[in-house]
Amino acid sequence: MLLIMPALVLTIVFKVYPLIQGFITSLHRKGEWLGLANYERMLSDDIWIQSVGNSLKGFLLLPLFVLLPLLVAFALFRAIRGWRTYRAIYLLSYLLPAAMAGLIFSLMLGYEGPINSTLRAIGLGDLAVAWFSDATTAMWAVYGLVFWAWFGLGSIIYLAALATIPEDQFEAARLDGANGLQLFRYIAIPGVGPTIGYWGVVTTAGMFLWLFPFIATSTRGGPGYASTTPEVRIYTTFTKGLNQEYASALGLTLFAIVLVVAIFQVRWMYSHANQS
Amino acid sequence: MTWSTSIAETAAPPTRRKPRRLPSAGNVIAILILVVLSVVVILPVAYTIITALGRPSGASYGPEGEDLFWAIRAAWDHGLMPGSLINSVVTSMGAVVVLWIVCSLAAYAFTIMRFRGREFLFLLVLATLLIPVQVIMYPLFIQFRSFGLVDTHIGLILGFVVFGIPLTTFQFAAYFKTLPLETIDAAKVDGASTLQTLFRVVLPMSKPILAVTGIINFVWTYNDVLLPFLIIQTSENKPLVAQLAIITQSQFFSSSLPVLAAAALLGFAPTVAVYLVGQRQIVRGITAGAVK
Repeated sequence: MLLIMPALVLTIVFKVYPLIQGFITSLHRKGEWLGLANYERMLSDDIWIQSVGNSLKGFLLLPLFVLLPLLVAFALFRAIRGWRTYRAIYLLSYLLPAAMAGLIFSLMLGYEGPINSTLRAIGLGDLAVAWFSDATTAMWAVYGLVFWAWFGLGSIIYLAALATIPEDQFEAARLDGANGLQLFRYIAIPGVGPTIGYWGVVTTAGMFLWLFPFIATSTRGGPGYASTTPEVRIYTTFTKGLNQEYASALGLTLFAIVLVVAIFQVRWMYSHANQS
Repeated sequence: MTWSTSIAETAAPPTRRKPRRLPSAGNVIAILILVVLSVVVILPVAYTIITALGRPSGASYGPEGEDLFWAIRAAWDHGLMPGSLINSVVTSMGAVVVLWIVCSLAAYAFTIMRFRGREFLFLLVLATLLIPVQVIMYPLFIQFRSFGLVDTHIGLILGFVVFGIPLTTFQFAAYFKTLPLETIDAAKVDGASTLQTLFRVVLPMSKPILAVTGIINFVWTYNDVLLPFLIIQTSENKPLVAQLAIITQSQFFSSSLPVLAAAALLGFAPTVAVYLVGQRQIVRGITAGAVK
């Protein structure tokens, strides 16, 4: 019982207490009781609404984020002798600090950067825009960067999952004349089902919580608020020392959204640690 | 399937002995996809290296003569190296060690010992995974300030530890579940105290999970910028990645592509070093828990 005290005390002092404190703060303004006014204010806060909308754009891309790494892992797993080499390459994008990835992509996607030079060279100069500073492309460019950063990690996780499928399942299906696509559809996908769920939950939560470092060094939320996500909005509200009570209300709203996703993750972890 | 067997399978290549035969059309397509994607992964990194070693093009700052490393030196100086790197190593290693201690103790209690409220408290610790930094940014900052922890390395380490506890405790717990209970019971029968059992019997059997949690926690704490932004205020105390993320927004950097690229390279290099040392542990770490 004593052994859990360090973990428990730290958790309560620096997580549970601030969460409760944040909730109380969010009901006030300059020490005065406001009730839910800070929450109502959100409904007419265009910047906040835009930031939530920007997150929803990411949700449209989630199927790609979840399934494309599986396809890559499958290709890696089926076809290649040197799959370890490829795995090593994909690890690179996981290890590159997100803030540094943002920096690198802001160089590559600059108006005079190599991507645009390539586009111009192959006669697609019309498509060459300043990706991170154009309001229509900024958010999508950020998601492109995030996809680049995450798909290696996803592939590696799926690769480990594929390796647990008994080889004779593939062999039997192949003898029945299944082609690669059928093997993928009828053996690989069911075989790694739980991992698809895991990676789905992780990327969904990540859409809300892990974009900050990418954005901090690429678009910084701009132009205007075109690539501001809720977490970025909370951070800037906090650092500009604007309205801490309102920032707390924003934080708790994000908490409510993330809760829905992350509860699945915790439930899974708990049952996983308690079985076997 | 237990966690330890899935580790074994992760570490070992899939046991498939295919007879040599001509590659099918599917295989060719698969190889093509992989080659293209590998290029996509490598290209930004290669571009960064080349740019960092390049000549300044119309930049306000440039070297005299042929000096390949001028940009890297400039980024080094302005990134307050090696101080920033030392800050990173101190805070990340500190977090790794404290997390080892705090989480192995907790996981030991949660999995091996019996006490009232065990299930509930375990669930509580795991459930705080649901509380990310962004949600409690302001009250957390107030809390750090009232403990006098703002702008200190101890404060940053503590911040990393608090947010690392749920996952690391989970990883230790899942591993401890796979240990042979008889050995642990035998130690108890021999009169070893709980702590003696943990340090002399359980932890020596836990080298794989120590390696996994160590590397995973090192990588994420080294890469993190949000907690450093929040807790560390002076540039002398900032860890490297947060330092670079901030200074690259200055005029000096944004006016020179090679220096920007050099800065990115500088932030990337330490993780590559860790990667070269512990590639297998990293793969184990990130796949542990994801594979049933």
